[in-house]
Amino acid sequence: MQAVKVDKVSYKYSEKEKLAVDGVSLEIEAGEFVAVVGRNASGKSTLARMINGLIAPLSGEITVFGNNTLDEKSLFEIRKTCGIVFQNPDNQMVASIVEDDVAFGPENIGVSREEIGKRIDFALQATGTEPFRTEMASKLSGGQKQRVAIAGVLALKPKILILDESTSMLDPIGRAEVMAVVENLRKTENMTVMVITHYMDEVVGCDKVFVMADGKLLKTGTPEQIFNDKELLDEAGLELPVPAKIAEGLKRRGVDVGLPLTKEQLKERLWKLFAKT
Amino acid sequence: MEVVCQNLSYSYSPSSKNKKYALSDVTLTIKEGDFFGVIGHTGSGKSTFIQHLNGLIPVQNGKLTVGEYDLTDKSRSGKAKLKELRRKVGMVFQYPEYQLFAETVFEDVAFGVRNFYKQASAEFIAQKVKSAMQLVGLDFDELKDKSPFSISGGQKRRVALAGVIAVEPEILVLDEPCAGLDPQGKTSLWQLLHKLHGTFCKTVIVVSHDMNDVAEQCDKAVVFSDGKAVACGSPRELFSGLEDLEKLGLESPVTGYLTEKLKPSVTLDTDFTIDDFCDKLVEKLKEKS
Repeated sequence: MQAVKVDKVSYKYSEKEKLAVDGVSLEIEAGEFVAVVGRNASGKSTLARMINGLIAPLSGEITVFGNNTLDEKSLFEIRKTCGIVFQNPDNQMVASIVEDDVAFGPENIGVSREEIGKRIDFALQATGTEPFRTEMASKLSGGQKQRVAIAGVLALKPKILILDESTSMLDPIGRAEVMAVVENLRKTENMTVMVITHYMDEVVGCDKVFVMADGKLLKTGTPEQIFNDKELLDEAGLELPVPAKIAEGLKRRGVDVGLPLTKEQLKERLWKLFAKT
Repeated sequence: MEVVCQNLSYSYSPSSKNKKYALSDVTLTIKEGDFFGVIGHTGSGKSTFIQHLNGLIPVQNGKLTVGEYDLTDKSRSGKAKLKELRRKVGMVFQYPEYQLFAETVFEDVAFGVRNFYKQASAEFIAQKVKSAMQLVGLDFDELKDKSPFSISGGQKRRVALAGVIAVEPEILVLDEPCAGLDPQGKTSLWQLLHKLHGTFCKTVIVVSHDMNDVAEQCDKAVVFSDGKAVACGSPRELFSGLEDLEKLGLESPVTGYLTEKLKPSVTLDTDFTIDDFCDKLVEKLKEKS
């Protein structure tokens, strides 16, 4: 089943500016895990906001599980279906106490009181924020606030989850924890996941990567296809994940281990290399 | 200026019965000239620690001196010196561009200069703003009259940084300076920090989550866990004790992970930068064949 269809969509923020999104077409299947990468200001967030119906395309159209974002009557349904977490948690906190903040979303879409309780429990557990349940959100650290922001959207039980650099303040292990929860929801609930990220290691495990530059979609491919395309990486301002960077360094020194994208793959290849000698 | 911290403790709720410590008994020294990393997982006390360095958070328990400034000195003369200290210790927060506020880039960068030099002439201020913008790689003539809200994210961060270095701090403290930057922006920011490190700014203190960055960029680092400074040393020292690091919930750099996994048949004596790791690995391969 198709979750999102973006058809020749363009957008600009004001008359004077150039197009923020320029003729983008793409499709995302239900249950898919996709990443959107590219420089700051390449149009990634604008695209995400359009999918969620926060802004309407200037031309072209977007459907989310068959509902057109241009159709005012579908917007409530679309926003219920598609949860988005932004980068800066301070812009998304609405209540002063953590559990109230997480409850805000489900309260607004008319979830029953009993169900809200369950959802708060689940979302706080999932994001590791249970210990801060009754604390002031303003007293939490940047990374903890980001976890609360993610909990707030998970409590909506969205069919599509968009994470717009929403783990940028977490440490690598914290990021991995949050992503494991997301991955689990994808498997059990067939949730569709779209991450917008500058962390190349987050891109490695996904099904499909959309590479954007100057508002245009440059390429769609698997992580392997993307990271093996040097010209594309330069053009879109991307870099290799660290294991691939090490492999490149070895290659420059005359040792070829291919282009492993994860540290486990690189480890295996180094083991083989030494086993031969 | 050296940062000397002895038995520093801090709680956000000091009067509560079961109070939690954000910092607990921290003792460490940051020498002048260090490019110093502050690492630890979310909520481990990193930000609380750095906010002590220019007196944003007052010392509750323990002792802290930054150069000649005693931050434990609660007397009137001690407090008067705080302003002087704040000029010398520049602080760049997480996502500093969220704090831009002025109508033009010039005014935003000039804000700190005007604050610290109350009697300064227009020429003096313009000169400071211009050189700070040049230093961070912003075109003065092109950008000075623009709104800071109309420029790109990478440029905004540089404007915020220019505002801090315009008063020429001797110690520059940055909380996650690369968060949210794209890969190229991140690389050029690290280059910029190393360039600054060679100027008036003698000491750079960087909070980072990314051990790969710490291995690559820092001379030394401290590891925070549960408010305690549990380890301090060069990347070579810190990342050799890999298991300890993982117990603290921290991920080792990829070079550290590989070095560990190649043991015991292959032992690499590396400083954990990618270049050095590759050099040592290729050496070993040659030795073995």
